[in-house]
Parts: sequence; C-alpha cells; structure tokens
Amino acid sequence: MNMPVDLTFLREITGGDTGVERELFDVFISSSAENLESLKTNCDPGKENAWRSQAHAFKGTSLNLGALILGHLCKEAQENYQAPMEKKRQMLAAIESEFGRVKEFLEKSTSTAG
Amino acid sequence: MNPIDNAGHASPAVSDGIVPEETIALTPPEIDRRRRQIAHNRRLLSSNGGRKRLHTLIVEDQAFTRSLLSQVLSQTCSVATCSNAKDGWRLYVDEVPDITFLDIDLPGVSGHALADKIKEVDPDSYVVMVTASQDVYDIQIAKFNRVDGFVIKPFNKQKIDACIERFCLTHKMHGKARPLS
Repeated sequence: MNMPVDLTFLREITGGDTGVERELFDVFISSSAENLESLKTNCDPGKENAWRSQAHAFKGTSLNLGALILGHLCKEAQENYQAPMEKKRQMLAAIESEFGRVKEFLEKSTSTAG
Repeated sequence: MNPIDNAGHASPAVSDGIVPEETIALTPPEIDRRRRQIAHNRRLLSSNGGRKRLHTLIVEDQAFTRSLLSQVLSQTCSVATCSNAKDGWRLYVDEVPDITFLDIDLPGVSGHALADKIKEVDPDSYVVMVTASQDVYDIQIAKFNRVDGFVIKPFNKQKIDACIERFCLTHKMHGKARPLS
C-alpha cells in the first residue's frame, strides 16, 4: 500500500526542522478533524454546496501536506457533491479511514524525530 | 466592480447550508477616505526610511495552509495573517503590505471580492490568488480583477519564491526579500 504522506515538499519548506514540522502536523490534524466533522454534518440532501466547499478546502490542505491519497479522495468528494447520500457516506468513510492513516503516519514521524 | 456578481461567485441558496456571500460595500466617500489612508500609511513608511524587508499579508481560512504559507514567507519577509476577507481588508488598509496572498474560497466575503476591492482602492497593490481551484471561471475572474499572480495549490517553496522574485523584479526591490539578520 502507498505511503499516506509524501513529505518531500513540506521538508523543502521546513528545512527538516522537526519542531516546525511538529507544529504544522498538529495544525493539520486539528484543522482536518474540523473539515471531517463539517463533511459529516453536510452529508444530507440540500447541503450540496457546503459539502463541495468543505471537500475543496480539505483537498487543498491535504495536497499541501503531501497526503496525496487523502487529497484525491477529497477531490472525488468535491466532484461528486450531488451524489446520493448513500454514496456520500461511502466517500466519507474512505476519507475518514485515510485520514486515520495520515494521522498515524504524522504522529509516528514526530515521535521518531524525538 | 465585478460584472458577474459582487463576490465573484454565483450566490448559493440559503437552504444549501452556506450563508449567501457578502461583499465589502464602500460608498464613494469611503473609498476616497481609504485611498487617503493607504497613501498616508505609505508616506509614513517611506518617511521612516522604508521597510527593511518586504511585508506580506496572507488571507486564508484553512489554518494549515495559512501556517505553511507563513512558514515559507517568513524566511524572507515579514508576515501578517488572518482567516477572513473582512479582517484582511482591515489589515490591508492598516499595514499596506507589499504583497497580499488571497485564498479564493473564504467564508462570507470571497477572495475575489477582496481582490476586487483592494485593486479598486489601491491600484498599486500587488495581489496573488492562492487556490486549489483550476476552474477557468476563477482564473477569468482573477484576470478581470487585475490580480498580479495566481498560485495553484499544492504550492511549494519554489512557487512562492517565484512570486516574490517577480514582485521584486517589477518593483525594483531586490534585496528587500531577505532573511532576518
């Protein structure tokens, strides 16, 4: 299975400073948890534009971190904003699961960096 | 003013979970007052010997993207940040940044509407849109608003450095983008 995060671009920015990386990872995890919550609340019919907007925002932050699979799943959610609720719940489950992998990866990265 | 709508996007219905977009509405006397305020702040800066480093403003609602962009810019510039267009507008007038980086999808007033307002009041401004959107519509609106740059997310250090370099070239400000000594 592919790595959940490619840190190449982020490390160009942080210069490998683990303290800065830890701060950025913390911000990513907390803001993504909010994005995820917001997607959950906008799953219902009639909230299509809010769903699309949240998926778009989540896609942008995921890709900037280097979480390419998560970014791809969010892009799919953004594009399928008019899908039926059942399909949206499936997309949401995939996003939540991938976010779990990303989170675990980031937490491991910071703990091994000491 | 934007011909499509004041905020740069079609207004969504209230029932879809999004509050309809707002605008930064200024009357002609208010526009004149803001112009004078910006000119005054510029003169003040210049009379104090000008800035030693470039000053940038980031308006981005996503905390991670804001932090990441701030991390890149702070290596060579001073940085002010905020998460919505109304605060962005206030900070712009008060601080008169050299370069303003705007997200498009902001809550309430959109980045397009803010860019439009900044360019209307301060034609000398330098505005760069930063967005995950590759929508032709967004690019057209940005062009119509006469913005100076368009960076597609995901961005990397090179893309942002290239924006700063382009600004320095067009404004003959080489040496102003530099690390803190």
